[in-house]
Order: sequence, then C-alpha cells, then structure tokens
Amino acid sequence: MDDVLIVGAGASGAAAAWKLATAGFKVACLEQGTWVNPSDTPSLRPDWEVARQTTHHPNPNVRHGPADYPVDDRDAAIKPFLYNAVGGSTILWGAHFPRFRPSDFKVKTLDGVADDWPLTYEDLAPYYAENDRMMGVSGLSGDPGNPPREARQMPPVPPGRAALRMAQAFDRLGWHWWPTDVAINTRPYGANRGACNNCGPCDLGCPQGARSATDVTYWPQALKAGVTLITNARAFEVETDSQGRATGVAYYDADGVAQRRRAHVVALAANGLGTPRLMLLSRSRRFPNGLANDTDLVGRRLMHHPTGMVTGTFAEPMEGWRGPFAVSILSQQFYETDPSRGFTRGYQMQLIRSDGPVGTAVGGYLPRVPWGPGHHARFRQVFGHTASLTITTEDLPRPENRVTLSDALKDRHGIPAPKMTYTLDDNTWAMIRHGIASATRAFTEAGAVDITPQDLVVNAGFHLMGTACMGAAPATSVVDANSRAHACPNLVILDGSVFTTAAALNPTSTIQALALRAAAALIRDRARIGVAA
Amino acid sequence: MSAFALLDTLIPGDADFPAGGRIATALAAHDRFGPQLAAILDLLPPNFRDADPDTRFATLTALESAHPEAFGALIVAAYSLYYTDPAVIRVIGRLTGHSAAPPQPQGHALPPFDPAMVAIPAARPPLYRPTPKANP
Ligand SMILES: Cc1cc2nc3c(=O)[nH]c(=O)nc-3n(C[C@H](O)[C@H](O)[C@H](O)COP(=O)(O)OP(=O)(O)OC[C@H]3O[C@@H](n4cnc5c(N)ncnc54)[C@H](O)[C@@H]3O)c2cc1C
Repeated sequence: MDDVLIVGAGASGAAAAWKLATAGFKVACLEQGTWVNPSDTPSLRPDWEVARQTTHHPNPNVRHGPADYPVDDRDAAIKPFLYNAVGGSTILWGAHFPRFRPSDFKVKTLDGVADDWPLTYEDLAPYYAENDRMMGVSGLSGDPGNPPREARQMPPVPPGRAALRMAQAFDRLGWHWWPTDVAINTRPYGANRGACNNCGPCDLGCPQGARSATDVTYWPQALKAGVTLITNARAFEVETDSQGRATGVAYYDADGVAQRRRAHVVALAANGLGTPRLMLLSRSRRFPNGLANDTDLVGRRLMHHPTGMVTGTFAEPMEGWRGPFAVSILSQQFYETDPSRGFTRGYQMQLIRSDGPVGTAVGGYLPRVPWGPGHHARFRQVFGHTASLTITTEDLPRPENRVTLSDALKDRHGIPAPKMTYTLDDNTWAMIRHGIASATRAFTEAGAVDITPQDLVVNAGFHLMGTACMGAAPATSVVDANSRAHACPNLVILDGSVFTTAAALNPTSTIQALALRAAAALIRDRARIGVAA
Repeated sequence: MSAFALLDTLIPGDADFPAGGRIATALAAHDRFGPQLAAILDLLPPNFRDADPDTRFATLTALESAHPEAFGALIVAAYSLYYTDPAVIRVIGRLTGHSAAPPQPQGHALPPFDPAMVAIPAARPPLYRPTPKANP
C-alpha cells in the first residue's frame, strides 16, 4: 500500500512526489503518458516546424498523440493546450516563471470581487523559493513590480533586439517593465542540465536540458528518492470507502487492462482539466455527483488567462527567431486595479519574439500570409521583422465556466472526455480593449511601421485553473488551504484546479509552490490524516 | 497533375522563391497532410490544371469561401512543407540571415545580459499594492 498515490507526473505531481519521497513517504505516481527523450526533439530536424503543426501541436485535438485524450471544446471560446507525458505540459511550455503578487491573494478584500485565498503570498514564499532552486530560475532582482526576494539562480536571458526597442519605448512612456523570470538556464545549473543556446523553439523540447521541465528537474531526483512512477497508466476512478475516504485509484495499464492501486492518501495532479474530469468520473453512493463534489463546485469556476495580442512590424530586421520564443521582457504597468480604467483587476503585457518561416506563413502572431499573388512580398515584409505583446488578463471565476463530462466524445479507453464550457465576461473584454490600446501605444512609441491587434487569441488555453477551488469554508470551496478536500480529507489536489483566483500571469511557479506546500502539510500532519481503515 | 497547378497558384514563385508545385509529391505522400491535399483536389473542376492563372485564382477563391475549414487545413499543410523545403530555407537564409540549419544543436550565440538596460525601471518606486500579510 502506498502512503501517497499521485495521478499525473507533470509540473505539480513531480514536485510533490519528490518532496514526499525525500521525507520518507512511500510514493507512487500514475501517468497516462510516457517519457519524452529530449534528444529526440524535432529541433534537431530540418522539418522542425512541421512538428509544431502535428506531433507537437499543443492542442490534443489536433495532435492526437497516443497518450492524449480528446477535449470537447465546442462550447469553449478558448481552446485547450496541454501535454500528456512525464513532465506534463512543461514538455511544451515557454517557461515564463513569474510569482503572483501579494495582492493576487486578496482580491475580495482589496477589490470586492471573487474570493480571497485562504493563504497569503508570505505563506507561499518559502515554497516559491524551494521550487526556484529545483527548477532553476534566470532573472534579475530589483523589480519594482514585485516584493524583494532572494536572488535568482542565474542572470536573465538576453532580451533580443525588439525588446531593446520596446524597453526604451516603455521608458519614454514612463511605464513599468522588467526582464522576465524564466525557468531556463543561462548557465549550466542542476544535474546534467546545460545552458541555453538561444535556439528559439523551447516548445519543441530542449536537448541542452536548459529549458526546465519536470522530467529533467524533479523526476530524476524523485526517482532517486524512491518514487514508483508507472507510465502508460490512465486513471479512471478514485475509489472511496463508505465514509467517503479515498482508498486508491483504478486505472488502465499499458495493455489496457484495468488495475487498482491502494493508498492512504490520493493526490490528483492531472491539471485543471484532467483533475475535475477524474473527480466527476468518481461517483459513489457517498459522492453521487462526483468525488468531493457535495457543493457542485467541482469543474466550475474554470479560469484561463484570456489573451489579446498586438503585433508590431518594424522596418528593420528584429531577428526574433533568435532566443527563447516566449520570454524576454514584460510590463506590469496596468496590473493592479485602477477604477478609472473601467474594469477591476488588471493585465500583464509580455513581449514575444517572432516565429520561424512556417509559423510566420501560417500565422498566429499575425494573420496568415495570404496565398496567391503577393504571397512572398508579404512574407518578406514580416518574417523576422515583428514582435508581439500579449495582453494576459485576470479572469474572474464564474460558475457557468466549467468542465463537465462530454456526452459526445470518449478517449480510446471509452472514458468520457472532459467538456469545456467557457465564455468571457464584460470585465475581461474591457481589459483586453484597454490592453490593446496600451500595447498599440507602446509599439507606436517604438516606431513600428505596422501594428496589428488581435482581440482574443483563441488558441491560448494553456493555463487551466479553478476547477476544484481552494477556500476556508467547505460550503464555498472544494479544498482547504492545505489543498485537502473538505469532504474527503485524504484526497489532496495539487494542480491549478485549486486556484481561488487566477491573477494575470503564468501560473506554474504558483502551482508548484502550492504542491510543495500541500506536501509539506502532509509531512507535518502524517499521523493525523484520516485515512480509510 | 492538378496538385502542381493548385500549389503553384497558392504559392507562386518569384525572382527569389520557387513556386509551390515543388512540394506536390511530398505533400501527396505525407501521412498527416496528404488527406488535406486530396480533399481539395477532389473539389477542383476537371479543367483546373489547364486554366489560366486568373481563372485558377478565382476558382480557389470561391472554393475557400465555400469550404473554409478544408481549405484552411490545406494552407497549413502546404505552407508547412513549403517553408521546410531545403531550397526555400536556403533562399530565406540568403535574404535574411536566418540559418538554414535546424535550430539545434548549434542554436545562436547567447550574449550576456547587460544590467545597465534596467537603470530607469530599477529607479522606480514599488508598483505593487500594500496587502495585509496575514489572514484574519
Ligand atoms: C504550449 C504551452 C506553453 C506554456 N507556457 C507556460 C509558461 O511559459 N509559463 C507557465 O507558467 N505555464 C505555461 N504553460 C502551462 C504549464 O505547462 C501548466 O500550468 C503546468 O504544466 C500545469 O501543471 P500541472 O501539474 O497542473 O499539469 P500538467 O503539467 O499538465 O500535468 C498533468 C499530467 O497529468 C496526466 N494525467 C491527466 N489525466 C490523467 C489520468 N486520468 N491518468 C493518468 N495521468 C493523467 C497528464 O498526462 C499530464 O502529464 C504552458 C503550457 C503549454 C501547453
């Protein structure tokens, strides 16, 4: 019998597995995917950009990989992006690694919207720091946008030509900007991990081991500490006893045979989509609406970071295909609430470099290069000449935005797929409009010759949050401040499902800090947790 | 073969770039992209290959508005193979300095970060809101 059985070997599952095993717990982890060998990255092949449209597409409905499950996104304004493997979605991620601000945990107190978290930035700070050491962070102290903290492990990534232009523009406008914190090595750091060689497509995997992902950071150490990692194992039910305590997990093994594994504590780390799916699948007499779902909150309050985008085209080459594609500098000038702007909460602008030839032609930052006469003229004009600012907004939780079980789609094991139902509210649209105006102003100041806004980036559902929310009161939340389910005390939720609110920045350092904190609480409370008889 | 005419119309060549027809065989044989090409070829009129460029352009414009999804999928497929074709990549390299080699293992030089760049923002007062440190 395991002390803790984790479902999902991604960002959060890996962190908790390592911490618990290091403290002497007997830990196992079920992962539906398998290992991805960083040396097999398409970045080593001439057709590397084809992989982005096929085998490495971030949308599982396009990728159709063997470990993927389909997502019913017919009613979702934003499409799901994720990856299923050891390392989870960090296999594809851009490695932006910001921390939440203190105010992000207190939106009800400060702004009268949504709910406060039952913990503070200060409660989480030691776990952010522990996670930074494990993942390795490049960045710079002294950011006026965030509270002081310990020095990053490495200096920032070089920002690139466009960022130099934009930084000067921000300075002339008197706006905040700062080099981004990133989980990318600018020097060798960690076991067998080299330095970034500025190649560009971090999302295709990093044969240098420079771009952090939990398959190269936490997992080697977790395995050394004794964690049993079972790959090709798709969980389909968390089993409970008559009192509603978790007893283990049922899963399909690599041969498609149903298996059961028993544990004192079950921890879900299947991300903001996979975790509510599994909870809703886990019906019992005690939990007829799904595991720990007495409040009907499981799956509800789905949050993304709805993203607008503005792309500036410069007359001079910016060589944006050089350097980690997603990271360089950011501005949090419009991050905190200012009632005069006509919306509550705020947004962050992140500067994104540009794409390779295929990415430029098929579009994304800019509309697709038109086919027919004029095709190459347009390609020449934009290729390597652009930079984009994303407007990453804070999504406020709404019960009607939710994950349910699809009645139309099933995975290859016959398990119902998750269905996302999601729309944007007026507050978010107002933020996006304001952000587009701000980014347009910044590109104008920087001397861009052409500026193209995009209202909503539909293909940007990479931050999946809120679907098993954290709170102090059992009536209005699914888990407590230690990430344990109110209705099932030996069930822990480790991934972004627990987010009470979303903040307006990339969530993974916060997801992992929360997972480490949940693990620390299990270690502390080991003797007191009410496990099944 | 209509595939050549179709791809030449989508991606006409110019003084630097070859026309799209050069990827016709590879596209037809591609496991993921082949079906996208076949779907649009099935919809072309029989005389498409022999039509003049203006007629071909008009035919494809009408097809795009009648079948936007299938047509969009073909464009992604065609651009993906065209812009990874070694001859095309070489042209881009010559025109822009973009490397014809895959991104790895060479990558690009990683210049050091110059902290002088942040002199102005570093001098600003704190921008984050004062927030109660503990829960009541
Ligand atoms: C293209 C892309 C770019 C991104 N860029 C950034 C960024 O720059 N910064 C940032 O902060 N975040 C980024 N993200 C998001 C980031 O990757 C996620 O926030 C993070 O990985 C979530 O961690 P997690 O542990 O919750 O889930 P994941 O890392 O997604 O891991 C979940 C794991 O659970 C497994 N699983 C699910 N269901 C089951 C089941 N039933 N049985 C067994 N196993 C199961 C999955 O296979 C998966 O491996 C990006 C994501 C993508 C896709």
